[in-house]
Amino acid sequence: MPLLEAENVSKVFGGLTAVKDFTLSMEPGEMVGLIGPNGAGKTTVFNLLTGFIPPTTGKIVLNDKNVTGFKAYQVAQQGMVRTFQNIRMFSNLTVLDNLKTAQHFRTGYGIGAAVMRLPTYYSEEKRIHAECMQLLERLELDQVAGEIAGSLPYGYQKRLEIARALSVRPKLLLLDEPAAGLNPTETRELLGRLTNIRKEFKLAMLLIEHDMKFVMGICERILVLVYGETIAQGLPEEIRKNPQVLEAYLGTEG
Amino acid sequence: MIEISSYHIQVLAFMGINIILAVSLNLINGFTGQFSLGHAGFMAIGAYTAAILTKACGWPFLLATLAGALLAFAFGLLLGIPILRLKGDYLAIATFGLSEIVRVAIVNFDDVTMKAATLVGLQDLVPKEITRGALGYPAIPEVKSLVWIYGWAFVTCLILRNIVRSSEGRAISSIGEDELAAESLGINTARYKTLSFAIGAFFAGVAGALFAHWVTYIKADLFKIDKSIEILLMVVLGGMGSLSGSVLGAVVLTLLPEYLRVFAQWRMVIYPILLILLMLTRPEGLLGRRELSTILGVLYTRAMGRGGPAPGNPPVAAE
Repeated sequence: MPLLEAENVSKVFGGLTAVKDFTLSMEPGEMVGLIGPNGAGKTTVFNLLTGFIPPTTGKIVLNDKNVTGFKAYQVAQQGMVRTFQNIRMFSNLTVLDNLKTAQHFRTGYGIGAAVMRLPTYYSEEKRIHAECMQLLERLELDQVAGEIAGSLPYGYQKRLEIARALSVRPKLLLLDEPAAGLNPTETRELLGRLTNIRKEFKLAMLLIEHDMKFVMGICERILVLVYGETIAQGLPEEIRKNPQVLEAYLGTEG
Repeated sequence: MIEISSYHIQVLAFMGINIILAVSLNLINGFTGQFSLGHAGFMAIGAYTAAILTKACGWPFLLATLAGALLAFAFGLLLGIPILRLKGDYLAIATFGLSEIVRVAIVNFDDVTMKAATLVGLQDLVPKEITRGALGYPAIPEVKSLVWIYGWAFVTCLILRNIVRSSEGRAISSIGEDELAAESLGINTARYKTLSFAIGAFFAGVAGALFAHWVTYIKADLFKIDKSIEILLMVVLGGMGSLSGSVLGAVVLTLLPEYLRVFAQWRMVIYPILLILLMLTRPEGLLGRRELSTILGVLYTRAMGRGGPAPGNPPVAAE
């Protein structure tokens, strides 16, 4: 049974078709890349899948549940979580609190228990703290757990955003240009980290990336989007040789 | 040695009421990041409801206060749902409009209820005077007790602190930080915006009830935009997103105009100049986003010579 099934998802803004008939089926634990020139509609696809904008037509099924028309927070609660192209940190909160925030909807106490400081408050807070610290250790961020997120260097913030998304415990992680702005060493580190995380958390990933080496190195399958349309789909080697893709990226000879 | 006069006690009372107002507005404006200019409106709802209940219905003070606060809460919840779809300046204008509606409704309340009652032939059953319109509402049973006021101020701070330092509070703060990111992590942002708005309204209602029973005479004009802005000033001055900052802001801005009385007619020239100077030197407010306890903790560790890290140090210092 596929984890995600998007069927003919389209989005029309005014008279402009931003995404046309986007179709994608992903198995649990699969790693898929979404590439295409600037303005091809990659981020719009992310927005559509995660409920940030409603599709004009089409159907999105996650884990056998129709999530078309769900609000963004509901999609996240169903296990599909995305990161943003420009980091969206809770800059004034600590690194640890950034992760704790992501556990909110799984927290087993309400506002009443919080006000009266009932035992469930203490037991849940303890659990949340332990889980978040474990995740921070896993991503080698535990040294900065108490720091204000906004004061961290860029590379750390990028990593923190992934850690925060993992804190939701997703089954499918959508990464919007995770390697953008990283230096080659950091990119290599990220590559290794994502591969390990994926194995460990049995996580499926869909990622937008411009760094071709990165995409080819990590993805099992690649989708190419040009002007909102999927022009090619297949294994990395196939995509590399596909004349249509070469044309879209490099232009025609002559 | 200052002799404690009724004047001093009055200032202390208003200070306590302002603490409740500022701390509760900070939940909305500071933590949730939803710019509200309507706090005086909720205060008016609490003040009038409680005053009418104690005077006309003979309710005990505590019950009347809670009823006024609950009505303000209900209004906050009901009106928060549509209004909080707006952002930034638009939200500020809408909340201001909201508090104006409350004020005008109070002024015209008797007319409207009487005419409506006459229409259905119930004019004998409805009292002629409920809010007494623009004349104001006089002779409210007096409750001049600092214990009540500071008891409520303590309860307000405690409840809000417990909320802020919990999972619910993290959800609320995350909206103020970045609403889209909060939504992407499974947080129902619309729900928490409304909830924090209503909780803020609740305590504004409490403050209104305390105020009404202290001054014993209220009129709708006391709850105009000036009052909302005064509360907002306390929040901004103390630091958005710092509860102890709001307490400090309320204390400073209640005392400052009083101390400036020696300057007579220059008072309202010096007061704004001081505010401008303060905001120029500390735009993030007196405490910024930090709580007094954190700051004292840092100072304490430093004084003990353990040399704790200064706030704002570069982070990657591994131990």
